[in-house]
Amino acid sequence: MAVDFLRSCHTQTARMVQDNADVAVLRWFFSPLAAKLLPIPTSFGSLVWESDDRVIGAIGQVDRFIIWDKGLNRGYCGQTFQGQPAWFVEGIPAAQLLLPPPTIVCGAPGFTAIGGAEANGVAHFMDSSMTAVGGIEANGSAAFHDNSLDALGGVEGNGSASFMAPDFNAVGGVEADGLGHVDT
Amino acid sequence: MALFIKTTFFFNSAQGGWSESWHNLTAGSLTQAEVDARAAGIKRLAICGLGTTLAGARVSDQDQVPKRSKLVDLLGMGIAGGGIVADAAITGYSSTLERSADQLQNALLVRGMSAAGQRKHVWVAGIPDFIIRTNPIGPDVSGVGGTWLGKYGIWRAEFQSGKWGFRVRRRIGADVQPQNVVDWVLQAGGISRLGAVVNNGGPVYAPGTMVQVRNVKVVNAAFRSPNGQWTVHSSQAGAAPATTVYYLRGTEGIDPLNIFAPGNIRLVDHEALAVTDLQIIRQASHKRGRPFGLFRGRVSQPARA
Repeated sequence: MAVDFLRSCHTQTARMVQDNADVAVLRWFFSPLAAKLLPIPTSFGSLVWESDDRVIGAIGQVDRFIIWDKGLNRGYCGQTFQGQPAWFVEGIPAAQLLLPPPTIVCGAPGFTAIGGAEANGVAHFMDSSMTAVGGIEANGSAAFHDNSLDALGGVEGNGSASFMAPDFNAVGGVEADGLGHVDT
Repeated sequence: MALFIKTTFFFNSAQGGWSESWHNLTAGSLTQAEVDARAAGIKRLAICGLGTTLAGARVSDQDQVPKRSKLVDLLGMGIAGGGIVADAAITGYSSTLERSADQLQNALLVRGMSAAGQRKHVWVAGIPDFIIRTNPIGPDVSGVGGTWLGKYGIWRAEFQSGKWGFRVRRRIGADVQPQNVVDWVLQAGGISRLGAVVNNGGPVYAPGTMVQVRNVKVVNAAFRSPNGQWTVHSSQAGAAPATTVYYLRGTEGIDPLNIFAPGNIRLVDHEALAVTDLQIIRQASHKRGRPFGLFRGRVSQPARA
């Protein structure tokens, strides 16, 4: 669902987890025209519209330092949100980070990515039957969470990369310079 | 600091979009602010020209930590085309020409007054073209007909009812009075963040608050000066007795050795004042940005009869 109104997209740092000072990369991307607006209050709204900076240490964006991003939507339909409504205000409970992300996003399994590339961010491909051909993810925390992932020539580098799938088929997969996992 | 709920309206037109922000002083909750935004949005859109839509609003509670915002979907509110319906009927202009006229940059400059005498000027954009052409120099819009003027009166009554206000710098109170900086130091540990040393007994600045540094003089204009507004990163007792050091975020690289007049520091705080009177100052084309490859300012001539 659409979290805020923006005319251009960017990445920036934000505190997402309750009682945790660590910051994560928050990436803004465009939602489809048919996307619904988030119907609940959130602490992750853009600082663009705020008159003051966030309080130091609070949940949400850390500062106004942003890096422009093309805002490419990678398949989110914007019809629903994941998690509990309270998480959007108070942050994500730390225990949730230990659980695998949802396998179905937007209720539409069957995502097919060909030649996809993600760099300098937190990248996730979460799907039930994803087929990645020539996918590249670099310089970030990249994760392929899938039940029947077929990766042909996938490359992940310079980050924390993990392939977690019960029946993972990797052909020519490469992971470099980071924490690489292939759990099958 | 009480700033209440900031409400930002998002408008779209064929030439682009713009936003307008007001502070809701009476809502008390995001839920009520959403209701107020819908009611005010309808009245605002009614004085807009053809092709203007109100995509939505954003309400943000300024007093919550962290700030909480919520979006309000205002599309399809039932005011198609804003106040343009009466345009051709009132002025006799061709509706065909009106449709190609510039809507985005036509604006009223409106002055909001508070009871305390503080004021703020607001560009009310998206006004129909016939307002601009009929009265290019004066604030009197009565000559353009009662239909649009009636809608304007409804909008004016809404925004000067005391419910809506604007954000101003707070200048009253002992905590916002400036205090002299006795020295500038660098934060230890290789951070090199600049710190203002002040004597105890004055206003105290918590981490995260905004302060303004003024009247600092450096030995040479080539050196950076800490004059300006900064956020307090942290504080600690100073090396000298009865002093406190306030370290400022983002001041790395400013060398205190280049400062010979330490200046003063004061808290930056804001408050929201209710608008008790709205007056049209003038109508004009409010220049906004520059489309690629075009000159600044109005790029299309207004439609002629």
